[in-house]
Amino acid sequence: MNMLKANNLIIGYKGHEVAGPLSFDFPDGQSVMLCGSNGSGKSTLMRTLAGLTEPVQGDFMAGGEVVMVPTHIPKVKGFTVREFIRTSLYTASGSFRKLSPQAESSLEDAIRTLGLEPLADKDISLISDGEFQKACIATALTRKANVILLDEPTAFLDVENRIMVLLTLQELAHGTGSTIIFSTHDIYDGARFSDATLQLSSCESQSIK
Amino acid sequence: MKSSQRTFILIAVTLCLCGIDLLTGGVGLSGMDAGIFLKLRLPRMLTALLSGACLSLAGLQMQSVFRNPLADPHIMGVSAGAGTGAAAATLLIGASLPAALSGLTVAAAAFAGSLLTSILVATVARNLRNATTLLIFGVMLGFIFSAITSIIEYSASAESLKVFYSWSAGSFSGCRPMEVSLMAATLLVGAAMTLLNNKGLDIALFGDEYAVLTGINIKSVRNMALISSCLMTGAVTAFCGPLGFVGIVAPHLSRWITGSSVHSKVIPATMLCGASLSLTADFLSQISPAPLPVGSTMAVIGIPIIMAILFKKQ
Repeated sequence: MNMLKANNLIIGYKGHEVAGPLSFDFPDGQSVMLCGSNGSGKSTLMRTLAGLTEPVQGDFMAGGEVVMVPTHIPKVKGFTVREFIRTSLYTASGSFRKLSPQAESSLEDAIRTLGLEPLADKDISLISDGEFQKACIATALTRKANVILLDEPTAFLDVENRIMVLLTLQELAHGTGSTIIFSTHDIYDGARFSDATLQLSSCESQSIK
Repeated sequence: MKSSQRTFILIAVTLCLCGIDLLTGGVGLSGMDAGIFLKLRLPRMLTALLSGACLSLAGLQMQSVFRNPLADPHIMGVSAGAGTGAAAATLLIGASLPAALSGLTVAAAAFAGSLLTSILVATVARNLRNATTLLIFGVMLGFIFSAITSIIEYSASAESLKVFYSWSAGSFSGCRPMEVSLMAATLLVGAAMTLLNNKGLDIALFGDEYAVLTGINIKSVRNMALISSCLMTGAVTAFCGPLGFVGIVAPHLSRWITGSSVHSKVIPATMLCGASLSLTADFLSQISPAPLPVGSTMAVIGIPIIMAILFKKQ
């Protein structure tokens, strides 16, 4: 079953069209690169898929839990990686951050899957931006996301961290069967480490491969 | 050191400061009797303890929802609003009343002023998405109220000015059991609201967009924080005058002591740090040979700590 498909979807804000019509259908377990110039509607598409913005026209189907990771989450001093992931589990935790045993074990699973064990008790202000991006991805995993949307996860990362993050995303999609969509301006690296591309330009779209 | 040990030490320090504060005052140990202890020392110590805890919790919440390390109740204009209320009261009625009654009138007017400011801030907060714009609104509100206070002062008589200045200098003395219990009740409500909001405050630190994506209603987190801080600031300012610095400094100290920014850990530590700071300020103003208002000793302790925090960030 495919977790993410759209049929003549037109996205925008308050009835104002930004891009579309878009049609796509991604098989599960793929890492998809979303590219397009500034203002072409990359963030709008993500916000629409995450349910934060109503589509202008058309519809889409996202099976299961959709989690969006925004760009530029600040690395606030005074949170360990584990505490940071726990913080994002607002709806799943009790009033004093207590997690159910299942949620606790899925948190530990996410940390293991992303190879964050050595960093789990380190302060997030002390880890690299690439490692922090992994912690952000871990929050989506812990929330049992079937579709993970990442807005510019590689922005401002150096080459090594950029490749590490992209590779992580692709391995994650293949390993867990989740559909991952990331937007980026680094189309060369992005294309190397993704299974499909969704290109946005104003009011015209194509799904390659 | 484990964080539980640190909390234990913090509690011990606060209790010691309570004891020291009870033993300091106008008369020495030998001259102290039950009357002085119960009527003067105990209310003064409790006032210092409660107001420090209230103001520091208010500051913590402001810093978290505005994501600004220098935010505190002053910055939202609440203290300035209280000042305008107090100034209006002293001009209109204060000087013609006996001292005890005029003090109460000033307190009531100051509370009305801070309440009015809080309602203004809360109304604007409901319609604003952006926390920075709200912060600027608070600062502007503070300026407007300060200007109104100056206008009132300008036409006030010398006696009215004296009543107003003795309030605005800040003091922990002179609170009666009724006033102390009012502050205690406010702290209870305010602290309960802060604790219930602890996870929301954690998320607020990572920005509005992140908050929305984790599925919380960031506006309700912000409103809850605003209401509880305005309530606590209003009560303390009414009885003790506008006291600065403790609201900024205590949250930073407690984050440093606990080594964390997670609110469920920081909230209790912040209350203890705030209480310790204001007890120390009270102690210093009591032992000083010349009369020294608590507002000033607070600044003397607070400013070096703020400076240290700022320079450490460089």
